[in-house]
Amino acid sequence: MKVIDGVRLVMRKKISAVAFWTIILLVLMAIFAPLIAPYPQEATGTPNLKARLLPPSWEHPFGTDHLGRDVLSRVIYGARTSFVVGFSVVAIALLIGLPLGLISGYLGGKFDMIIMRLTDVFLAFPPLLLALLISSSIGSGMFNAILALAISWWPWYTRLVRGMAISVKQRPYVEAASCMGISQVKIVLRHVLPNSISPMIVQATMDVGSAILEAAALSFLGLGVQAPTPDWGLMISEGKNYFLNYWWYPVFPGIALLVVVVSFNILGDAVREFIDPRLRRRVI
Amino acid sequence: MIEVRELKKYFPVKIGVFKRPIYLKAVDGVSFSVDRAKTLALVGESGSGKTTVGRTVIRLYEPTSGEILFKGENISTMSREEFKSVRTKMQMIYQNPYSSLNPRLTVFKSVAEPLVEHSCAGVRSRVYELLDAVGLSVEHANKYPDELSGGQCQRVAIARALALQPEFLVLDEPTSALDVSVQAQVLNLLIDVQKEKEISYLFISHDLSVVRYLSDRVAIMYLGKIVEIGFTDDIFDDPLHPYTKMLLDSIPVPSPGRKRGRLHIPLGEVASPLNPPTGCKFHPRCPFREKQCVEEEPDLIEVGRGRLVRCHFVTQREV
Amino acid sequence: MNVKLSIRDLFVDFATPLGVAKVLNGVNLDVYQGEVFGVVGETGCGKSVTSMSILRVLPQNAYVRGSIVFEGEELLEKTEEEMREIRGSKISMVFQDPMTSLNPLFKIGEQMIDVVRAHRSVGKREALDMISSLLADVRLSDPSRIVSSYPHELSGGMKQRVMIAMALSLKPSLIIADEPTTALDVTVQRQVLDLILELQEKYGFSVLLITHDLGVVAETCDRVGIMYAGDVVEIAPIEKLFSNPLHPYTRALLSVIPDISGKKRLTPLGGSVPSLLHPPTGCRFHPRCRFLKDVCRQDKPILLEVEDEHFVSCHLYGGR
Repeated sequence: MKVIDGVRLVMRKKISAVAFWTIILLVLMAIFAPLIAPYPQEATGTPNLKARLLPPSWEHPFGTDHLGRDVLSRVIYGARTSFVVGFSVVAIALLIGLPLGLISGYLGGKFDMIIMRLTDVFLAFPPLLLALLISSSIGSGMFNAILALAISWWPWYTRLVRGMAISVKQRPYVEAASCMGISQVKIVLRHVLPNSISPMIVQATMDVGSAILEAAALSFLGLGVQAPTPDWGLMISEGKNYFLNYWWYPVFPGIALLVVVVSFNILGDAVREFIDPRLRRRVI
Repeated sequence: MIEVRELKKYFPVKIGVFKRPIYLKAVDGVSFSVDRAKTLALVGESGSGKTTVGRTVIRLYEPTSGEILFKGENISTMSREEFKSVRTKMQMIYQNPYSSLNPRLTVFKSVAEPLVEHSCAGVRSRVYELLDAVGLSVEHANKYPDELSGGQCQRVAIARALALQPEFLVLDEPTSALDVSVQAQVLNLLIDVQKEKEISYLFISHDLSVVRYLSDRVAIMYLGKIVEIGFTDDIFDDPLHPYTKMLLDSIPVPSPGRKRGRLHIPLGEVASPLNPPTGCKFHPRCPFREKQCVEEEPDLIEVGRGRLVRCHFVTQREV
Repeated sequence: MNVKLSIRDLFVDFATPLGVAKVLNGVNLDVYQGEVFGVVGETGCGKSVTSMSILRVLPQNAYVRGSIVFEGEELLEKTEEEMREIRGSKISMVFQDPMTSLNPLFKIGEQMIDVVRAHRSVGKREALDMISSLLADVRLSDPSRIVSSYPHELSGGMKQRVMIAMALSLKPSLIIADEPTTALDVTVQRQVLDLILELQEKYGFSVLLITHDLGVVAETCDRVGIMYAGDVVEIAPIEKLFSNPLHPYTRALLSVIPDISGKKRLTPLGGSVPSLLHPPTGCRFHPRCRFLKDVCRQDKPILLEVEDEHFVSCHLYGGR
């Protein structure tokens, strides 16, 4: 029993460390893409028709696509789009969802009812459908993809925060604060908010990965980022036709997607563990 | 200092979409007073309404009816604005020491908050003063609640409550969640603070031995009403109401001599406040029950020096 | 004196993210046939862990060593299969909080029948009869109504009686009651305690009663063990404990309880319960002890019989 327990603990820590550093590395890679990518012009779109569909080699470690562009460079640049979309979606969803959740949970009554019905409405929309609606009305592209996803995402955060806010507002220290004449606003900001966001932080961390995945799905369907912008979903979509004979085309962006999403999930788990025992530091 | 007259607090309970809500009569006509620097204990079991009384007196719940007078002023009808300035003079100490403090704030910040809010000068020194008054040192100031023991957290809560120099404190089972040895420390602290700052206490508890130690007068509550009230020693030495006798007899006494020759064996369980018995609320469990008790609810009648009892049997015997 | 349960040198450590918590530091106690033995202590003294060790229901991160002999057999060497047979039938437990000890989704009758049929191959009819007579034993009128009720339809006191009935269902020889009345109202507490004593006289099982309330102990127990920070510091028959407490901690405990019969200024015990991650060396009580000597810091005192059936673990009385 002793050995297995120890191994588990170490593994857990190692994996979270690995996940954490992977993400950091990838973000840095995205930021410094022009410096890292071997063929930056190709990545952003300049085709090289003489080098079409070449298999992985020293010059092109990930091979080239159907327009001769270096896949490695495109994957590196694709990280930019992915991270921008992922973080933006979560950030916007938080910006909308967090205040609404707090208001809904803390004030209750009519506010709660209205906001909850609102979340019901938005939750009823599958993100894909929403993206379709948006792109058919105001066109497609990265920004619209972000919009579509954020709109379908915020209700989850509202619900999470609301649940916590409801339980936190009943705690004695909140009551004590109102006994001391502290204004409602300050109570919410200083007492309710910090104690309501832990589950949301965990969820948000994991959601960056999920958002990236959903965005890739949108691009795959042609509803998000458009060609020639380098984007993993788009690359998979374009590459799927060439999969049988030129496997490297869709596979490498696919692996990149996998790595990123899994890393965020693991990181989210680690965040949850980190937050929890810290709040209950007493032993037994 | 504090006078409460016929305080009532009813909670509406919905029993169906189309039916009118029925009322949970948590507090059903409670009257008492607490003098300066004195302690009145409210004793009762679950459903007695004692906690609700405590909360309503400082208007954490709005009273359904009745009057609350603080230093002569009627605070039950004041607007929220007017009440704000009075509110700081009335504070509350809670049962669970850990949830009384914001886990994200250090001890210093928790105690400083009321001072900062009311723009007091010299916050830092005042906080240290308060911590010292409750037996904590400067070292504790930078700790978080989860780094402290239950007793220490409760002291911080007391320090915070004292920050605005209150004149009235509602103590809701302040030591029930603490270990016996720590309990004694906190009780002594409360007594010392009361003497020094002349604060009145409303002490809510179910623990009769602690009540005897701390309070000047006791009110026994049952299903929303006071059934007996008087000076502590009088009540403990000579309980009159059958429920009081039952309570006192039920407490396990830490001296093995007193074995199980019980005179007032408790019968049944506390009835639900949603569906109280007719007449005297205690009659289903009362060994002295008579026909009158089932039909007519007794009034709280004075039977001695500062002693009131709500019982047909007792008051008629006295007469 | 027929010894039902014998615990010797029981050490339990918990592996936590913050280090190893040495929760039990060599517990020694015996429970005799047909007696009510109280275990008293404050938070962190290890009383609940002791009971969990007996039933071997400690969490994964617990490391146990020592000896627990029940009816002549070493429990710590038994397989999980064997323990499962013992739990509920030879040794059963009554928990503190009746609200959460019963599954809210199933009727009372179903849960009780489950327990019976886990250990005896009897038909449902038979099991139901057994249960009904048990419910009558615990003074629950109208057993058939109880059997078909859900837990939330019963009050706290009634639920605790059901728990007691369940604990009794297979005629165990030892019942471990972990703070069985702490969550109940005072008057209900009285009823439940009286009930436990009645049943004990009727069926003759031993009771290991865990509590923090010395009053409860005084009125229900035959002998008491006082625990502090993982050690058993004193064991005595009930009258002796109150008339002649020996260990400084016991004396402090007794002087710190508010007295129902009069007002005397309580002299509280200074300091606080030590951390089990970094417990004090030697005698774990030494930082708070008025009678501190050098040896107390170095050597942990042994539990010695000082007078008839009165054991103390303290250097003031030998302890070496």
